[in-house]
Amino acid sequence: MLINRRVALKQLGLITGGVLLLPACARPPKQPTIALKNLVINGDQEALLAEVSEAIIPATDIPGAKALEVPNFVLRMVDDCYDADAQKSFVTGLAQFDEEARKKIGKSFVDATPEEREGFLKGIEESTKNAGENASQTDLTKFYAIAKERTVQGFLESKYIMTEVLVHTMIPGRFNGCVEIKDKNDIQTVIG
Amino acid sequence: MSFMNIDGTKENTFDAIVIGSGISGGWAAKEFTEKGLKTLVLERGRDVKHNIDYPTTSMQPYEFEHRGQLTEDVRKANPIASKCYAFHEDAQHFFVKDNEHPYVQDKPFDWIRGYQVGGKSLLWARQTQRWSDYDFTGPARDGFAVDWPIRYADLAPWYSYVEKFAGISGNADGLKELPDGEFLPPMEMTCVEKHFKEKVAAQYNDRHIIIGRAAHITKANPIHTEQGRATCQHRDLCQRGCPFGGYFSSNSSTIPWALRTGNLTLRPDSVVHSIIYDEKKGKATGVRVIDAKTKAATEFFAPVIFVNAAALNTNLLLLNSTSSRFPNGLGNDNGLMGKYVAFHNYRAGVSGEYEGFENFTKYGNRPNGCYIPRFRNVEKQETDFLRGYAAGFSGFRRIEQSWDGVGKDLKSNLLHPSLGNWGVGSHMMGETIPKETNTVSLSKDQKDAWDMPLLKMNIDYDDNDDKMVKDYLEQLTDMFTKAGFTNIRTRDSKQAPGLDIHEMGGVRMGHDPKTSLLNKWNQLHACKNVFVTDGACMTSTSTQNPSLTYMALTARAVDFAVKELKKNNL
Repeated sequence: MLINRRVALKQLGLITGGVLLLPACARPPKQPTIALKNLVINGDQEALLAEVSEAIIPATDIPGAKALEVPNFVLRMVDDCYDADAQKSFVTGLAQFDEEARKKIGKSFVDATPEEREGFLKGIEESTKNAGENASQTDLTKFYAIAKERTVQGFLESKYIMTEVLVHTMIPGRFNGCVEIKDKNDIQTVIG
Repeated sequence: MSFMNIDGTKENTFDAIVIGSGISGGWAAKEFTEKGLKTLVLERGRDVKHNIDYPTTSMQPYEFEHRGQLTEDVRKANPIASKCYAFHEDAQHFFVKDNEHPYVQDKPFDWIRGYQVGGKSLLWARQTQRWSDYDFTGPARDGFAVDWPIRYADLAPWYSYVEKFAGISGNADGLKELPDGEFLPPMEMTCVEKHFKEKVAAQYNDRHIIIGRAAHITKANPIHTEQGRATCQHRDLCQRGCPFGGYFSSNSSTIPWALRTGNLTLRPDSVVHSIIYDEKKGKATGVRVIDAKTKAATEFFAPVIFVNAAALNTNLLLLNSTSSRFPNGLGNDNGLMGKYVAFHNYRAGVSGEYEGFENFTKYGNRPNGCYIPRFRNVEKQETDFLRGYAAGFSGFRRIEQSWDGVGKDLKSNLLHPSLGNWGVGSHMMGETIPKETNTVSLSKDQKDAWDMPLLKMNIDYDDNDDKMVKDYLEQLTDMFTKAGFTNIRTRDSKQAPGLDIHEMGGVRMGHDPKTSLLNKWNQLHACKNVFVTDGACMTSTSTQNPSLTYMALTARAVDFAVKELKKNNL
C-alpha cells in the first residue's frame, strides 16, 4: 500500500518541490492535444487558436475550420515550416491577441459572440491595412497574418473541400487548351 | 586504401560495365543487354523500382502533412537543393541532400543531383528537342571550343531510334533549326499560346512558337505497352515517379527492359572510385567500387566500360582514375579534362497578361510547355554576342480567389473563384560558350566518406551571357508587346550556374587528341575501351534540353562498341 501511495503522490506531482511552491490559486496549465516540437503553447492557447480559425472560416452549410481540423494544420505548419523568429512572434502574438481581445471586447475572445469576434478580427485587418506597407508589424499582426494564411490554406486544401466542393481531379486524363465557357459560375469550369 | 579483389575474378567479370543508371546509363544498359552482352550497371545510390519505390505517387494534395511545403529543418539543411523548382515534400526523397555529398564552390554553383537507380531521369523536365547542323557547326563557324566530330546526319537515325522507344510527343513543325522527330501526337496549345504563335509568325520570318516536344506517351504504341507503360494521364506530378510510365525514365523504361533480357546485373549502392588501367594491355580492365554502405572495396572487370555518371561526376571519376600512364586522369594526356565546362543560362524571364479570350479556358493539366527555338545568329552572326537562346513559353488563364475579409464573406469568396485574365510567361535557355577557365577539378585535401576527392567548381557567366540576357529580355518584351500582352515584367534572377541542371562538358568530343578527350564515337582517344556518353562529352551546349542527345549518342556508341568488340578492336 505504501508503494502505491508513493506512486500516486508522484503522479500527482506532490513530491516535487516546485509544485509545492506554487500559489494556492494556480492550476497547472492544460497541455495542448497536438504534439509540438518547437512551439510552446498551453491547452488554453490551443483552444483560443481554434476559435480564431473558426472565426476566420466559420461553419455554414459547409463545415468550418474546426470541423475540418484546420487549427491543427495551422499549428503543424507553424511548428514545422517557420523559422525560430516567426515562431516566437506567433506565440507572443497569440498571447497579445488574447490580451487585446479582452481590452477591446471586454471579455475573452473565446467567450465573445460570433459578431464580436468578427468585429475584433476586422479591426486587426483594418489597422494592418491603415498602417501601410512600411509600418513595422507587431507580433500580434504577425500572428494574425500567419493564422489567417494557414487557416485559409488548411480550409481550401482539406479533404472535404477538395473532394466535395472545389473538386480536385488528380487524373484528368487529358488536356484541352481552349475550351469555350458555357457557364461562368460553374466552379469546375473555373478550376479547369 | 587497398583494393583486394576478395571475390573471384570470374564472377566479377562481365561483357560490359556501365557506370550510372540515369538517362544515358539506362540506355547503355538496354542496348548492351539487348545485343546479348552480360552487363553490369553500377549505381552509387539506392535502388528505386518503378512504382514500388514511388512512395508519394498516388497521394492526394491533402494527404501531405505540409501540403507539399518543405519543413524549415529540411530547407535549412539544404540551401542548395531547395533552390530547385522540384524539391518539395512530394519528391524530396529523390534529391541528394546538401550535407550528404559536399563539394567545393570556388565560385557559386548549385549542383542538383539524384543518386538512385534512374538518377535524375525521375526528375527531369522531359523536353526533348533535336539538335540541327546549326548547332553542331556552331563552334567551327564561330571560332570557339573545337569542331564537333559529328554532324546531324550522324545522329539523325539514332534520334529516331531512341524517340520511337522512349515515346516523344510533338508536332512536325518543319523547322530547319529544330528537326522533326518520330512524334506521338502533340499536346495542345492554349488559346493565348496559339494567338502568340500567330502574332509572332505575322511579324517575324524567323521566330516560331511551337508546342514542346516532350518525352510523354500521348498515344501508346505497342512498343510502349510492351514496356508496361501507358498513355500519359496528364496528372502533371511527374517528379513523384509516374504510375502509368507516362513519361520516359530509366526506371519505367530502359532498366526494366534490360532486366527482362536476363543479361543485366544491376548493382545499387556501388560507388565507382576509379577505372583500372592495365599498362601492359594498354587499356582499361575494370573498375574499383566502394560499397556505399559498408565501404567495402571490390573490383569488377569487363572489356568495355561506359561512363554515364552524370556530367560532372563523370569528370570526377575520370580525373580520379590515375595510373603511371595517366597521372592526371584516365585519357587526360592533354590536360584538358575538367575544362571547357558549360551549361545553359536560365537567368531571365518575362511575364505578362492578355485581356482576351474571355469566354475560353483550359481543361486538365499539361506536363509540357511551348518552345521558341533559337532565332538569334542562326544563319550568320548578327548580334554583339555569340550564339543565342531558346525560350520556354506558356499561357494559362488565371484563377482569382479573394482572400479579403473574415468570416462568412471570406468563406464565400474562397468557394467562388472566378477567372481572371490570361497570364503568359517565358524563360530563356541560353547557350553558354565553353571556356578553358570554366573548370571542375579535384580537391587536393578534402575527401568524401568513400575516399573520393571532393569536386571543386570554378564556373561562371561571362560578358557574352550578360549581353544575351539583355537581348532576350528586349526581344521577348517586343514580341509580347506586338502580341498585345500587357503588364509586361522582366526579371534576371542572377541565379548561379548549376540550377539549370544542364551542366555539360569537361570530357569533350573532337577530332584531335591534342584538343579533345573523346573521338566521334565517344571513345577516349587514349583509352579506346572507355566511352563517355553523358553530358560530359558535350563539345558545346547549344540551346536544346540535352537529354535526348545523350540518349542518341549512347545508343550509337553502344552499337559501335559492340561491333568493335566483335572485331577484337577494343
